[in-house]
Amino acid sequence: MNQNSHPLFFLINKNPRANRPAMNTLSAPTPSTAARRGPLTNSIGTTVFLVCTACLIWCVTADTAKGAEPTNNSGSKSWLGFRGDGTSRASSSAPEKLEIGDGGNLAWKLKMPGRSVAGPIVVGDLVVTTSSSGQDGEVLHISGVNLQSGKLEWEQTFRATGRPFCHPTSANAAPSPASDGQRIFAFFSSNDLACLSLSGELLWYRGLGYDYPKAGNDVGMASSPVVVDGTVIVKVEAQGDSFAAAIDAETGKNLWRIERPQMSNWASPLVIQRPDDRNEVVIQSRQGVIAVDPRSGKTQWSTDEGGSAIPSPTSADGLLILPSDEVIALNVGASASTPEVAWRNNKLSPRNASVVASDARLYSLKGSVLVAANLKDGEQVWQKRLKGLGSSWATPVLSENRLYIFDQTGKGLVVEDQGEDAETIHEIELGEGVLGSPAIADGRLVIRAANTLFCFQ
Amino acid sequence: MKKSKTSHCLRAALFLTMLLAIAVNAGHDAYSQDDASLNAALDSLRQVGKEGEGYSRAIPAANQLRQTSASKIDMLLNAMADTNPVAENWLRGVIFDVARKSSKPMATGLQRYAMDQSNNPKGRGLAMELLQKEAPQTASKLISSCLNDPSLALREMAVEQAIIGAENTSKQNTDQAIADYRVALAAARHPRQLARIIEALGKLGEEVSTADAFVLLTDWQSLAPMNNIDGVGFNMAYAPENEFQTSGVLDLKAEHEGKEGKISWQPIAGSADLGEVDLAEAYNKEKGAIAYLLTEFKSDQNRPAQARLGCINANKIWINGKLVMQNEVYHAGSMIDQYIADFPLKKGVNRVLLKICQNEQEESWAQDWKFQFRITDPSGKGLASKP
Repeated sequence: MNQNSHPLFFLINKNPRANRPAMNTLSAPTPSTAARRGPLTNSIGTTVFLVCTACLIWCVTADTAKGAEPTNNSGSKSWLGFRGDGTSRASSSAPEKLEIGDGGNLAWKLKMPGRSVAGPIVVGDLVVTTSSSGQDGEVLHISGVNLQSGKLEWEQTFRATGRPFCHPTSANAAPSPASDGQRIFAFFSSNDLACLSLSGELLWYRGLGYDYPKAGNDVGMASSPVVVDGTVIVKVEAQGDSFAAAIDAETGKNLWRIERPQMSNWASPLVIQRPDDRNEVVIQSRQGVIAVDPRSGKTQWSTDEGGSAIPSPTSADGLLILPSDEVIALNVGASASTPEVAWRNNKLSPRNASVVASDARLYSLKGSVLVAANLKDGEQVWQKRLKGLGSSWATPVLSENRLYIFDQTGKGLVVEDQGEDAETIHEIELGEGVLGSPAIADGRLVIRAANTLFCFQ
Repeated sequence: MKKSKTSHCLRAALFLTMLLAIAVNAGHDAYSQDDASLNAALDSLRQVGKEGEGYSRAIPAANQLRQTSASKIDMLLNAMADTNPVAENWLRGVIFDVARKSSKPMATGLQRYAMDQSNNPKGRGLAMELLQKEAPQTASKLISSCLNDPSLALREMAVEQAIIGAENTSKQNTDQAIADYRVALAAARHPRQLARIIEALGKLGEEVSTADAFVLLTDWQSLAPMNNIDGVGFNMAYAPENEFQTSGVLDLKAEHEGKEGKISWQPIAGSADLGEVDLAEAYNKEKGAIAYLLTEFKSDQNRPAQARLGCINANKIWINGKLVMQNEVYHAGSMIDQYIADFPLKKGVNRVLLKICQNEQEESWAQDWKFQFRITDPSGKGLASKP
């Protein structure tokens, strides 16, 4: 276990990847290109510096070739947003047990600078997590942590420009961050949106609570952004300024903004891919569901079927799973037009957590009861009361046939789907509440508890 | 084995090269930029506006600025003066980038900047924040002297330290802890810190009411209920608000058409402990209703001030006939100082009119119809009406 609580302020990017130019190909300058911009005072020093920099880049690149794996959406080393690719299912195998202490498999844990109910993301070897601190949660922290070592690589701190208030069980750091593999988009309940490079450099900053002062509510917002087709899409549904917007990932400017029902909703948008390879963004409210084009915001189709205020939509194997008083599956994979209802089941409606889906099954957490159903027809296969599981907000994550489920006291269960039944095969007490959905990448399970980041291997 | 030796040689060569580079560059800024260029880039960040305005210039400017030598930290911190909140964060991000990349200790410069009260308050707060990371013990000593600092950020840090100090003292010396909490109470401006101090004093047997500590206004005249079924009342200008917006005064003897007949102004008081004015209790838990509340506040001078409202219901506030805030939000959290608006307090009598709207939600958590209100100076210090 590597327990590291040192502020990283003094650690000058010990992980060589942090400043490697190739990692940020869009807008953040490399040291060498930036140096060319301004007049230098000493030409000898400049030459030596550039030579030195080149040597350093060559040296560390050679040394860390293994660590420079692709960091795009499909890589098993990445978990780029809330629920990964939107299904909560990992493409890599997560540890079979969660155990702290001798013989345990806790790789590391790290004290964080504030509180969080947001899930972490993983971009290559970088874990990104958000926190909030201060009297009202107005201090916003974005931390980059090395996945392998658990060491803090960088940290950025901002001040909320919108309303930071929230219920005591929540935090300003409630929406999970997202990434396109090259940039990080950290969103907060106060509707602050920061875009950082993978080295933690600020690329741009939006204060959507400053732009639209009536956005948000004082219970706290929680909808996580999605990144698709060069845009960051946020959903800010509240009693005041209520909208969804696409922000150009490179420039930070609005591409579009559409009005949404003026009522509180915490569900996150979801990206789905249609048979004609178009992406659509599914946005739900209690009044219905719309699917919009990511670049234009134009509605592609809609349904009056209500959507939940808290659980988010899920997609798997050509189906879009909409949670409400019942779970409705829309067949979005059959054609590129308005999807038809494939099935509906009023016994699958989740309480707080979103539905988790594999190619064959979906799982719905109803309080402490976990229900499994066939994805194809929505027929229930089994249901299991999870002994000891308290109130749960975090959407479980799935690896192979194992679900990782946490409650708000920090109790965690590994539940194995054994076909006709399920069994809890491991339990753990983290000692801090977990309200954010964990991440799975590179064979590791990364869990953001209230004030601590845990990594099991 | 041979490959390994080659690698070692290369590493040694690299190390020597780096040493040489450091030596050659000693006394110089590797990325030094002339001040005019720096100021132009800083202006680009300072000028970012709403909805991405100015970002085309700000993005390259940020890229330029993050290469700035840490020796220019004063210029960067100075740029935080009078910025909008978004521009402030652009500057914060860049300053953190510069600090993170700095290979030289910055503590001395940060300490000097933070403690110079002629510098801008935001910049001073950030300088202290950076110093806390680099030299926490030094920062702690300096912060303890900032209880009455004009920088709210520094004052808040000092109050926080004082609270923690008093907590520790209370384990050994109750009297001293009470005295320390009293000092913190006088300095505190943030409502959560005030609330924590009040609670701590209460546990030590020192009763301090929230109403007194925050200087909440508790004497009101109330006119209710008026109709707000289906939320129609929020934007409906009933007679009192028309009258107030026109003349800045109200006739408290006049009768008005209420939701179910004639209604007239009645005195209503906030609770002695929390200063809460409970309209649900006063009006029999009426739903779909509106109450108007009027109070007078006397000031001995013209001064900038803030109206601060805590209210779980939709609300509007007018002061001296002018609308200063409106929030059409129902049952989505509440706390003291939830809504804050600047306004000019005038010498003499100032009149405050509130419109507090209750909707028809039936959930158990949607039954409150109440508020807490106070007037403060711009730092958050509660102001009392002069006799």
